[in-house]
Amino acid sequence: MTDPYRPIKTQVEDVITESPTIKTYVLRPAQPIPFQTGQFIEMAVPGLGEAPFTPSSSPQVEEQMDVTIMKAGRVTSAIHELEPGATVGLRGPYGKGYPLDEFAGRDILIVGGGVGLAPLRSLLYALYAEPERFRRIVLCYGARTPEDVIYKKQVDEWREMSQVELHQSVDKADGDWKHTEGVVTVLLDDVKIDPAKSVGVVCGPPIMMRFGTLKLIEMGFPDENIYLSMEKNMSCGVGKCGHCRLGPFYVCKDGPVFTYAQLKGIDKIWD
Amino acid sequence: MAVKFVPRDRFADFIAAVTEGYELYGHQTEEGEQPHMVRTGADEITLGTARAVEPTKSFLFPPREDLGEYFAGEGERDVPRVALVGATGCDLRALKVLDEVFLGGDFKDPYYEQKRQNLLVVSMDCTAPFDVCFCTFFGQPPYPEDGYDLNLSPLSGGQDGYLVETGSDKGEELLAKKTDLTDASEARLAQRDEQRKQSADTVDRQAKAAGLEALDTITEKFRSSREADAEFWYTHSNKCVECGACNFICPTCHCFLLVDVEERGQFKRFKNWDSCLYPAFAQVAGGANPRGHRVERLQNRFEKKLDFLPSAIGLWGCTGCGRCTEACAGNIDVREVLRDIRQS
Repeated sequence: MTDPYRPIKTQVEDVITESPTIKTYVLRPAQPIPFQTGQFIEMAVPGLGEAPFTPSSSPQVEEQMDVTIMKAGRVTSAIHELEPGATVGLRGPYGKGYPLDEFAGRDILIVGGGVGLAPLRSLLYALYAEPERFRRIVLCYGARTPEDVIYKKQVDEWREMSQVELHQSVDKADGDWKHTEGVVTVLLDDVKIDPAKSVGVVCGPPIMMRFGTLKLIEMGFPDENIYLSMEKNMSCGVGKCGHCRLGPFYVCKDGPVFTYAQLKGIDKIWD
Repeated sequence: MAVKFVPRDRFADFIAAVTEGYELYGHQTEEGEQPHMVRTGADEITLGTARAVEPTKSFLFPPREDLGEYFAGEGERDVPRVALVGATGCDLRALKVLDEVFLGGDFKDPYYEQKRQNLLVVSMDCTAPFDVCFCTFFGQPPYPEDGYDLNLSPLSGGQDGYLVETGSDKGEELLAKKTDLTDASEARLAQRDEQRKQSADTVDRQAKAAGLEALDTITEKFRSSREADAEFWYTHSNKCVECGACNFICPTCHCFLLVDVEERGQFKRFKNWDSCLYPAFAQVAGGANPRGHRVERLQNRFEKKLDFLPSAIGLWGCTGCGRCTEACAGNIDVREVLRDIRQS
């Protein structure tokens, strides 16, 4: 009998410091955990607790998984103390990820804020692995300050890639910053895209999700072509424990990726 | 199989025979008190006149469940066979909700499933419903209609013996072995039917007296009263002390939290009951909380019962058992909340 509540023993192979508050953990579970991009896993510090994260690595890599984690609460603070060689628990994958079949043949406009780039990196890997299906990928990425930019090396690689069109901003620039200063939504003013032939993907902190969505609507994106990664308090991950209910949905099993068409009209989606 | 008759003086033997091989839990009832569903011997059972204080869920979904070995694939579980004697119609309707929650969807809860498979349900008719009972409001009578293995109808509170009927293959097999029982007479069946009618009338009268005449469009009224920010929501929520008693005593409340602890160098995971009235129930690590206000948490409880569950699984999340009214430390009466929703 499969047990959705108990984790698979997992080794921390590497820890990469991305920013003062964000680290990426390279994990090797005792049994591979194949996932679809946008699905999430529960990562546990044994004896302390667990929290949900969406892997930031390519879904095509099964033996290893990267999870990028911002220090925000009790569990993530404990995770930030971990070093290579530590044992953690992983269970999943859970929920519905990005529907790549729906994305095929369209322009894909990705709007990410802060650590919200983590699941989007996984999505980007999946998208540019199949350049014949997804020809145009536009990434608008905002962070608070230049030092809060994560995946710095990869961001530079994306800038050079022909399949990816990168726009970058920080809320507060310093002297060395060569890109836009301002909130991430201002980047969208420079993007030339036909909303009827595109999908928008938004992931970031609640306020950015809200204004990103409103901006896409203003640009003419239909509600059903705007994809949001929702963050809610979760425990079980499989639609039993009741924590993440959002209107008629459980975010864990019906999401975490939703279209705005599914969510609009539900109270408090941005809180 | 025909309904059988168990004489009063053979009741304990009958219970002992059909529950042989099971850990037996049944009603023990003090004079003038509500029954408690406790570990018992067959000869110590004293059936109450309505549901036990304890919700049936606690036998399948215990308040704090040790999930055994911390990591997956390690350790085996041994799950005892449990018989419950005295479950009522509302208890069985709550089990239907829990079955949908824990066994439905892409993932099954193996802890619930194993205990559920090993459960024997010997239910009973309510012969004198409590004054807080209002099951008829949700269209359900105060006796089991299905979901039992065997059902008991105490005649004159058991003074005139018991009628037994089967509701499952397991029940059929068990009753088939009791070849010493006679078929129930027409007169006794008529007595049972009359008792059932009287109990249903009692509950119906009580519910109506509490302002619960008919369900009407209660789901729509729930939505519109919340939308309108109706005053009554604050009247009730201001009495809530956020203790979670209503959740814990509720036979359909199923929310839980997986909790990790370290005990003597061993990692353990527990599946603990949780309460949606607790302020941090829906709060995320970053601090955002979609239900930061108490009134939103009380509304959430009713949304789950009156809106979410009916649309997700086709069942009301309230059975009208009245346990939360009795348990509430702030004296919130579920009937008054439902009445205010209805009349809004």
